[in-house]
Amino acid sequence: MIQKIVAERSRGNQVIANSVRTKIILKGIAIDKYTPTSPDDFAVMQKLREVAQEYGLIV
Amino acid sequence: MAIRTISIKGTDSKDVALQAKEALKDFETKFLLFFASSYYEDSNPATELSVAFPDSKIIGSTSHSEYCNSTYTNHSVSIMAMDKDSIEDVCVKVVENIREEININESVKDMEAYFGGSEEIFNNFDKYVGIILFESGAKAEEVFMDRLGDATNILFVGGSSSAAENNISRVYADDKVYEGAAVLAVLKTVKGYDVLKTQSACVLSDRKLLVTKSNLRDRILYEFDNRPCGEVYAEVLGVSVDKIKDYFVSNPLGIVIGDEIFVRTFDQIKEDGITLHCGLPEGAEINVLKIGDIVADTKQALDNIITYQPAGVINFNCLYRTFEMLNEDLTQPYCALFGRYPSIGFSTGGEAFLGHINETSTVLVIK
Repeated sequence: MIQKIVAERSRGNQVIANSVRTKIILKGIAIDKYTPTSPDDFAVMQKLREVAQEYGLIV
Repeated sequence: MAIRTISIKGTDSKDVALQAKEALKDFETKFLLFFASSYYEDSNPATELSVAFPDSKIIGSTSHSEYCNSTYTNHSVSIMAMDKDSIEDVCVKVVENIREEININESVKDMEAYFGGSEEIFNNFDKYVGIILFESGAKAEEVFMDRLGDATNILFVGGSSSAAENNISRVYADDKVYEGAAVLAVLKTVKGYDVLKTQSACVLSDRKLLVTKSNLRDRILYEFDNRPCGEVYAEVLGVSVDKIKDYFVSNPLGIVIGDEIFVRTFDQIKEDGITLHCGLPEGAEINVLKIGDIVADTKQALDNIITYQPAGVINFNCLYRTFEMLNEDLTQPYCALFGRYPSIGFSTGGEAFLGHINETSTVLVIK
């Protein structure tokens, strides 16, 4: 989910991708500690859905 | 010449504007950015500069103290004038009442539409950059920057107003003066831009502290790891809780993201929490930091990025750092670093770069 939000928002622009990651972490969602194999954390996933909604993305 | 910088001391704002007009008489100013000591506020510098430069877009802020090229001053006005060789166009918007619920989507859409829409900006991301000036009395920068980051990919860099002895804080757009507002300018640069941030702080302890209870809007921190934050902070420093106030300046907090640190400085102990100069959301992970060498770190940050002759450099330098440099007699070597470029700056009440931050030099470089 994290990768999808970053990828869809940045559309391949690495500078924007880094900005998006930073903005999400500054919201209090420590996405840098998760990997694709991390177990689902439903509270964090809910926060990410809200971020995606703000970004106008469907994840 | 694409950018000019001047520092002026005048008897009042009208005198400053007349001196600026004379200094820039052979220059076609498209956009004018100024940082004026609040000493001039009773005669409204924005109004006078708008009279002197009727064809220019103008934004500005009050300041405690000002930087221009290699000088540090107070009771002055630092001005940066840009012409068509440095910026193709500029769009200025003001968002008022930022302490209340912020909806900036319409303003952002308007600014993007001015330049042809968000696709044009996305496709030319390296040309478009924003400057943001907050009136610091609103204390709403964290939430505003969060909403702004949701609304647009445009990178905004800036700072919050500060004040001289009279304690008057304002921001300006064209001929108008504002309190409780944010002034935004999106620049379409001719040759692009760079942004750098140096906080002259590094991680003291690798131990991550999770913010488990806080009040972001009121900038109050209550708990780390479900324990009183002061107790945990004291534990990291290895000191007793009753001594932590002595470490607030030398050991601020930071959200560490890769090589970047987003600093939050302490204000004071308040009842069962600690107030900060920049709020922390619950869920954030922070490290305790230690302050380093301002001049050496700033030089390294500037030299790493500015490997060319820039058209102009805008330095949003935290007022805390200015105080520290004054205490340590470091303003001359610090200013000498910026004297290498046409540059202006001011001592800010907080800086803006992806979020609201403290204790940095946040620098916009116009190529």
